[in-house]
Amino acid sequence: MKNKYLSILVLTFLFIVLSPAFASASTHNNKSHDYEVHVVYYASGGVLVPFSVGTDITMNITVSYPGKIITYEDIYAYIVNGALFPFECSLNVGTIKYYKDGSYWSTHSLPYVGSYIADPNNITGFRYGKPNTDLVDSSTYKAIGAVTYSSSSTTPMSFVVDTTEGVVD
Amino acid sequence: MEKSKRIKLIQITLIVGLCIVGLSFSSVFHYSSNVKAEKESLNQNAYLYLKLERKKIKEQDVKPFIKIDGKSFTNKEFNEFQVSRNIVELNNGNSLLSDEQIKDEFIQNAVLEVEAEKQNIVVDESEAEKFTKHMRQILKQSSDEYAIQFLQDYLSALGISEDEYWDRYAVLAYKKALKISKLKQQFFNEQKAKTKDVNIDELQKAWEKYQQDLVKKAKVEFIQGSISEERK
Repeated sequence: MKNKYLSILVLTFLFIVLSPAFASASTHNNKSHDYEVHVVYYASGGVLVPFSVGTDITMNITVSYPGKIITYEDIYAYIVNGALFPFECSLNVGTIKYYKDGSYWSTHSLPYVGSYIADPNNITGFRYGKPNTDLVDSSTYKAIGAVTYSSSSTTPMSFVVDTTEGVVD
Repeated sequence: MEKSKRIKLIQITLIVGLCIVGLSFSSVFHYSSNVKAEKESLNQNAYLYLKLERKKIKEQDVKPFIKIDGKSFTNKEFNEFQVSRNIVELNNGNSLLSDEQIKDEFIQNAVLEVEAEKQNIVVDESEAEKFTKHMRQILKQSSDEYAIQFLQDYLSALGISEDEYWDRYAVLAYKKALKISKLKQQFFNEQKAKTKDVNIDELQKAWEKYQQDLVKKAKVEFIQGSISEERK
């Protein structure tokens, strides 16, 4: 009899403790961040000289439950002190490639250009989208976000900067 | 009889197998050498152009070419810039820039340099050397194989050693580039002080306009008889 009461108490306690967690598990934000350095060559005076292009990228993917639906995704990237280079360059943001169970699944192009408060010394790019794409609950997904550097004054004139992969769950 | 047939069959299978493996290796090798050749041929255009033009520059007489706000630049300085700028274009798979396009860029850079000097923006030898060392270190530690290979090929076409490039040429080039960067920084700071919520796009546009206005205002004189066409 004592054991029965004890079991009921434990179960009640667990229910009270865990129920808010179940209720708030409706969305999950997956964030990934990366910093990459590339080298470009620029004509100054009589020779070409290298400049390092350091790009900082953050990717956010929000998944809503039940149903595992991607409701929001964005990429924010900037070239540190890129505006102070002696040449003009830009960052084109971005696409997110999704991989389902290790195989390529689809590419999302982010349609909206976001507003941002940025350091004017940095070259920035921010895009987002609200795709409302259904995923399959039982599968694992990876996402790789990409931004493209371009400048008509340097060689190479463009290159793709990938974020580290983010697991979408 | 059956045993000898079996042995023959094994031998044939082995020969066919070896042929398949051999063919696959040769096709992989052929493919990779083609890819390499394609990549090299792109650079090859740039490097052949660089070698040829550097030779012409070495052989030409050095004369005053252009005066920008009282500061003289020689035909050699202009031609070296022209070649460097065109290397960027060729290596990116583009055609050579026209003389007019190169002149416009040369004048703009020179005007910005002169303006920086007018505003007492100084880049001394030690600052340029420090930046050069920093960049050399970044390249040394970099895993960017393209960038490392590019410099090696570039130096071989120039016919100079790595130390000579960093100590003699790069320091001068960075001195010019840093002057422009500092002028840009000063311009940005002034704009930021004027406007509280500064917009990056507007700031870039303002910088573009500022450069155009400086070029318009600048006194540019071409000195007769020393144009780059002499080399052709």
